[in-house]
Amino acid sequence: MVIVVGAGATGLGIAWDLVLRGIRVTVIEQGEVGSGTSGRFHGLLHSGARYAVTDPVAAEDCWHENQVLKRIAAAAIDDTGGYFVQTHESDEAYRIRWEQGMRQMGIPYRAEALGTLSRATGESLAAFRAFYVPDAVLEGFRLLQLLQQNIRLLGGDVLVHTRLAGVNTHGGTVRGVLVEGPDGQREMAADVLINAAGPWAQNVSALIGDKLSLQLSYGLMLIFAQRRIKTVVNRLREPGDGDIIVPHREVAILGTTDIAVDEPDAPQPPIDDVIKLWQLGKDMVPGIENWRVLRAFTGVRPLYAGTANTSDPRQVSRDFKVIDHKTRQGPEGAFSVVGGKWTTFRLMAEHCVDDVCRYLGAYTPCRTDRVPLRPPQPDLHQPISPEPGDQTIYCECESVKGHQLQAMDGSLDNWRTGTWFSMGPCQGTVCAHRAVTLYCQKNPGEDYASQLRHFRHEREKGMQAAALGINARQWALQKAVRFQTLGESWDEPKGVADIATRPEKDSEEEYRT
Amino acid sequence: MSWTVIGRGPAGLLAASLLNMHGEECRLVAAHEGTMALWSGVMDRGDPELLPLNAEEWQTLWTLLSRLWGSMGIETRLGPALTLSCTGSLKATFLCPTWQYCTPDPGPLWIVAFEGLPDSLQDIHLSAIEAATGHSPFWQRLPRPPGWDDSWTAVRWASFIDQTEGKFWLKTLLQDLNPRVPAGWPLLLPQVIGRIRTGEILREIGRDLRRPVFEYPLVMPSLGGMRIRDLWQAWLRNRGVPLISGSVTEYLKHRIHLDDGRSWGADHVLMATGGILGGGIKVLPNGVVEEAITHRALGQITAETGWGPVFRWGSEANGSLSACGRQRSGWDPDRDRNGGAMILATVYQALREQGLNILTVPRKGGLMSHAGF
Ligand SMILES: Cc1cc2nc3c(=O)[nH]c(=O)nc-3n(C[C@H](O)[C@H](O)[C@H](O)COP(=O)(O)OP(=O)(O)OC[C@H]3O[C@@H](n4cnc5c(N)ncnc54)[C@H](O)[C@@H]3O)c2cc1C
Ligand SMILES: Cc1cc2nc3c(=O)[nH]c(=O)nc-3n(C[C@H](O)[C@H](O)[C@H](O)COP(=O)(O)OP(=O)(O)OC[C@H]3O[C@@H](n4cnc5c(N)ncnc54)[C@H](O)[C@@H]3O)c2cc1C
Repeated sequence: MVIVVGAGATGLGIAWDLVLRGIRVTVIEQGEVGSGTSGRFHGLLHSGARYAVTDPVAAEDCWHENQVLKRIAAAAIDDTGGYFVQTHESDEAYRIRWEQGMRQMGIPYRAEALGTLSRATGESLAAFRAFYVPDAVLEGFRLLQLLQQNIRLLGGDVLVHTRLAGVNTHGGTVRGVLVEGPDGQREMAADVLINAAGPWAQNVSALIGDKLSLQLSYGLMLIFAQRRIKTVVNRLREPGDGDIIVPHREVAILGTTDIAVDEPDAPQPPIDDVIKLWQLGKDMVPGIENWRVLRAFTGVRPLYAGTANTSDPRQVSRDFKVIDHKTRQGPEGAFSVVGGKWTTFRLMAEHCVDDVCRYLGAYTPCRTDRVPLRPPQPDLHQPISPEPGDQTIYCECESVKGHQLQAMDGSLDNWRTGTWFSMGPCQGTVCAHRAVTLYCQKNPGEDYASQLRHFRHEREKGMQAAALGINARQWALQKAVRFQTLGESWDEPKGVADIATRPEKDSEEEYRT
Repeated sequence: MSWTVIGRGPAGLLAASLLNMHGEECRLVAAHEGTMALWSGVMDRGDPELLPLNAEEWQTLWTLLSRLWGSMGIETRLGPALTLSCTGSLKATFLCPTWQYCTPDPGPLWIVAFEGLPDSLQDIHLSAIEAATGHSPFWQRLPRPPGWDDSWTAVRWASFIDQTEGKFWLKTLLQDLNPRVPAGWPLLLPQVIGRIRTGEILREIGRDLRRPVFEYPLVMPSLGGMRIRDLWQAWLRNRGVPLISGSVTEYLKHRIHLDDGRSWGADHVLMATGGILGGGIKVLPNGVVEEAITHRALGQITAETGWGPVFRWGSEANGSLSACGRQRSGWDPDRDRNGGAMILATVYQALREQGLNILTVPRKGGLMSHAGF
């Protein structure tokens, strides 16, 4: 039995690879599936172009995986294509190196005429030159859901709200783990333990008895209403802040920043940085000031510098590493996977599971690059043909109907990421109390007022960090509905200073696209 | 003297009405509908201890508003009372149209929900009502009417019930249930009982069932507020107040300027522009908070400011310009639940700053007769 810690892209990718090779696996996840960085990223399926100059290994991996994922996970990829836009003539030297890098790595690209660029991207850009690249959009929650469903179909297990609390070794070899779940603590036997805990990997490696040191950095992203661009847009220059915009379902996301942090929990977005990031976006998209911001969110990168010592997170490679702890001072049978990107999760899993197979002494070849991930059940994300059930629309922004909500299991947050209710421009102003009502009808033990309050807090965190422009009006409306119409008990909006500095412990399942 | 009121929310409508009643020449200009359609139109008072006027002044202002509405055909109940939200909380209010359930002493209730109307009060909220009133309500959900589809909004429901077919659908179902509910328990229906014929339909159902019948408010758009808004605007039009659509960009040297180039002179301007929600205060992408019409900066949001105070930033008097309603600084009806009192106090205050004291008028000949009641 293999135990995988963490149900993000890396952990689920590993579990999928294991079950395809016929190895039994249980994934344990302390929160919900995707409540770590994999639910809080930018949504870009990299073509490798971003790293063509600075990080050739990551670039090559990305390009390889870009092609694989478009084949095996098409249901979770919106193949929009992308552009690299050179905004200033002064970036010529970088542009020349970039084109060399692209040719060396064989990543296809072509120059786009400036006259057709705004038609192609849907927005007028400050462009001196532009190039088309095979970037695409990765729907993170969708792909995690597909992985989880397919893992379960082949007998793998994914236990949520279950935390790794200890590792049992015997004679220097992993024998089992101690977990804390909804029913308290228990032991589980394990021949192999895989640490895929993303930014928490250093905490998990400490439990293994061989602490790794990660170089954590967080990134800030802003979500804008109405999918104002049709393709990915990147700025052609040395990777920096605020230089990528990704269309994602009905919204567009501007990102990101790269700021070193000590804690793996995603921090509250500081309003000053939100303002700065938005202003940076203007360099590439002058009209962005008139876009409607919906919310801000952050994610923490689990970067691994190895022995390299640098204080600038952008200098740390986006490459990944599989660590067999017995080659250091750790026990046998314990592995950690660190670094990497969402785009390269499958490759990371392949390398890791190759090592695990060798350790178990039974090598079977990897098949994840060939077996497509198909939705096994009726697909909630597809338009549903008329059928019995509650046809009332509860979330008007995202057109979510009663029967879609009623079909959901798990926590309210699961309902949200599974149906997308409350994710539109009104951010739950009109539908949060409705969805919580349905949730409490389905789960009679739950308390309406506390569920609603918790949900409001979660939504409000991202909203208040971006309560600028029209979004400030939206927030004012939400307050009036909550306190004057529905009579909810008063919460003073927190000081921006408090929320900027104090990561809240219960905030892991913050929003992500 | 020529006056311009900017804003068509409750503050602007009230200010324009008072000016008209006092024989002042007044124009009402607004970029959009104000907030009236976003809530049921009940006027809350909050904690009377915290309010800036004395008891007698308040009594006069509240009575004035209830008579004003009465002259438009909106009957109200005045005085401290509780009304019910669609999620089962009992909410304190002060001036409430009689179509809406509102009482100082809530007793047992018969509550009806409509399937297919999302904000209908649901069974899980009954325990909250029972805890607050000491009585377990009788609750029923009526099946969707023939012809319903998922595009039915609250407004569509109301126009259905305004028609004979809809009224008949409702009456038939209620008559079947009526014998199962103890006599005397008031019946509460979702606030979609017509847009135009509400009072008539509620009375008719009440006669049929021999019990009082009221509405409970939904979220938004809200039929209660829409009815008041429609009657209020018609009242102003009938009395010759021009209602102008347009967005004011500037008030300079006693002239109002609109974004489309129109402009006119005004000796006094009331800014009933609604604060952040109404559009009278803008939060710019760079974090600066400014008055939309004067472009005066009210502050800058930084990591040091809190959000709480930002929603209380606002305008006051500035020469021939005075702010009222949610635009006025210092008020926070979300926290203090005194939205109605805020409207009354700030409109009174703004008019007074501009030279019209509506509370001293009675001494000069009687407020109510002057007002045309
Ligand atoms: C701002 C930002 C933008 C990004 N944008 C992109 C992008 O556009 N494209 C791209 O390809 N990549 C992007 N990335 C990188 C990518 O998101 C991450 O590399 C990837 O999601 C990491 O996945 P993971 O599974 O390793 O970690 P996570 O998703 O964090 O998963 C780790 C899981 O382990 C769980 N866990 C931790 N400790 C325990 C414990 N003790 N017991 C049980 N469970 C535990 C956590 O709850 C978590 O769910 C971005 C990253 C950031 C921060
Ligand atoms: C959801 C909700 C629920 C509420 N519930 C209650 C309740 O239960 N009890 C209660 O007492 N009160 C309630 N209120 C009322 C609230 O407390 C305020 O009193 C009210 O919304 C403020 O109205 P106002 O007239 O000041 O502004 P608004 O109604 O916002 O009106 C502002 C007006 O100014 C116009 N405007 C702004 N800028 C310009 C410009 N530059 N040019 C031209 N026009 C402009 C706008 O178009 C609009 O017409 C509720 C409000 C809301 C939104």
